[in-house]
Amino acid sequence: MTIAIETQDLTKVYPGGILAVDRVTFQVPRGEIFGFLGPNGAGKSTTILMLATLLRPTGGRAVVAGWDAVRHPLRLRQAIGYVSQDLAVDDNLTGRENLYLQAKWYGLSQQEIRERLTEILAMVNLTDRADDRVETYSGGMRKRLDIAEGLIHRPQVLFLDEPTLGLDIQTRAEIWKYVAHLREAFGMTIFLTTHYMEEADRLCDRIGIIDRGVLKALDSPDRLKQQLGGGVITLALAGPGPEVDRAATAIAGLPGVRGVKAQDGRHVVLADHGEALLPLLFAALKPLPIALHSLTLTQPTLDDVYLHHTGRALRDEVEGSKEEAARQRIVMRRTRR
Amino acid sequence: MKHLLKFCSDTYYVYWREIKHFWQQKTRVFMSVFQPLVWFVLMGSTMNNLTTGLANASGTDHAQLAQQFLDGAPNYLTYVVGGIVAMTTLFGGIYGGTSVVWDRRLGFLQKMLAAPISRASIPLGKMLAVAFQALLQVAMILLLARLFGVHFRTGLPGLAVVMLLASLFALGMSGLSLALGARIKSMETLFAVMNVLTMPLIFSSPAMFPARAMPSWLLAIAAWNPVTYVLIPMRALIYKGWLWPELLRGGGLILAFATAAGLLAVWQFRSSHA
Repeated sequence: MTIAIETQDLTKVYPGGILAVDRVTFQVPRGEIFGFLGPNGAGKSTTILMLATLLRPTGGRAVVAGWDAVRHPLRLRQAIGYVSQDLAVDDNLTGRENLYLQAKWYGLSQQEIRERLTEILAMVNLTDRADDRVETYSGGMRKRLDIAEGLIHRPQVLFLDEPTLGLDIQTRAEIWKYVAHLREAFGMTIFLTTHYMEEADRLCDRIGIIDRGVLKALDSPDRLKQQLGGGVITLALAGPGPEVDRAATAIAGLPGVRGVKAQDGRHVVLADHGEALLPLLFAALKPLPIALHSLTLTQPTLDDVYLHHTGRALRDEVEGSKEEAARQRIVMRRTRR
Repeated sequence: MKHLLKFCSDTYYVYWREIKHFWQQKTRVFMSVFQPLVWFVLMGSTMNNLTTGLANASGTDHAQLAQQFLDGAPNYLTYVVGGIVAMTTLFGGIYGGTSVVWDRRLGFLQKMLAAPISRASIPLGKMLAVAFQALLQVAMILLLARLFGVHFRTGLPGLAVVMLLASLFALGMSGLSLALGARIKSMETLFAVMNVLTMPLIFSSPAMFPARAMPSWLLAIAAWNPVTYVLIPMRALIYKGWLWPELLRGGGLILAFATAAGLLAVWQFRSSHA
């Protein structure tokens, strides 16, 4: 089997008619680290929940590790590990008991449990604290334990929903290391959602950008950046409004310019070749009655890619219930200790 | 067969987790023992003095008064043992549903739903844990009653049956509560619903006050109250004897109630999502 995850027109319409995921189609080959990027409420979590059989699609299909999410949910669950963003470890049990419980539910034998527990506790650096109650753990330790629980049965596909949300930068780097290690050691396919661009850039082989339920782009981080062009020039122009607008129009008409956008009082120019465009740009601006205060030339980052596909407008959080809010507060509190 | 074994194992480990929680919360263990003690000492002793005092003051024979007003129990303490058992199991059972709301808040419910276990295992394991706790509490109540001088007509075998009936009742109530918890996702709403349910259920049954003392409209309600049907066989065992027709009828009704509530909980969990 070479395809680990496959969706075809996967759709979820919530009761009340909210279209959360709109005909999403993609494939993830085995052994890939695949990242799902998008603003809050874009449909990332809904997609991951459908793939993990926790939510029933209203249209299309999803196949994970060869099992159809609707027809063979139990087989599918046995083949995957799912680590939610909720930090769902049991505070009242010890780390070892948490793992033991999970191992039992995944049907491991007593012999396997003994071996795996030792191995996995060492891998996530929790051997010394394994017999302490989880309520004494820090946020990073909890997250490591949570990921370890998702790995105990050696799943073919691991789903990580916002794996580093709220963690400090050291812990985040440590989690990235584990994730990369998993792929190397076990050839595991990893599907993660994030809204940290750096995380997606560093970790993922390919990235899908989803917004308002629609898959907007899907490619490797490098290719996505290249598609945006060979350079981003940010200009601060000063002068009378109409003149500035005329300058922007002039720039947009230059050869090798893909687009000009006004952003926060600056102009952002997407170019095929940034360096080659600069002399043309200066020549075009020179005769105009405006001043050029500053100019920077950068290569596109994943931030630019992300903003290009999702737009800049502020998003209202999707109407969450009171219960949802209470749950999120608990997660943040548990992460930050 | 293999599936059945896996199902039993999954249910057992849901139960295992709940029991671990129970033993770790020292205050909860203490409260579960302390609560019946309070009812017994405060309510039981006071009412006992009241009834014996009334008998003495009016010059009636106490045994005759008890026969008439206390459903045949020799004194109020003996009468109320069954009531406290019923109340304790009702409370313990009905709060069983809160654990699922907590699990949902902490994301643990989702983890269980994502595991390759039957969804029925989750409510069943939790129900069994509630029933086990009820068993411990009832054993405590009966021991206390003995220390306060209550004489049990059917001896230890009878008490074993009382414990069995009580934990079956707790099993049923927790099933009902878990079914509610699967639907009602907010802790506050769930608590409100439970508070509205518990007190009326107790006081519209002959748990605390004998049927003779109830106005006729309340008696009509009591006839429909499941608590009433738990009390009949338990009281029979405590101070009447092995009254088989009452035992079989009461036991059968409790069993039917527990089964129905369990099925309801399982059905709610099958259709519910995290």
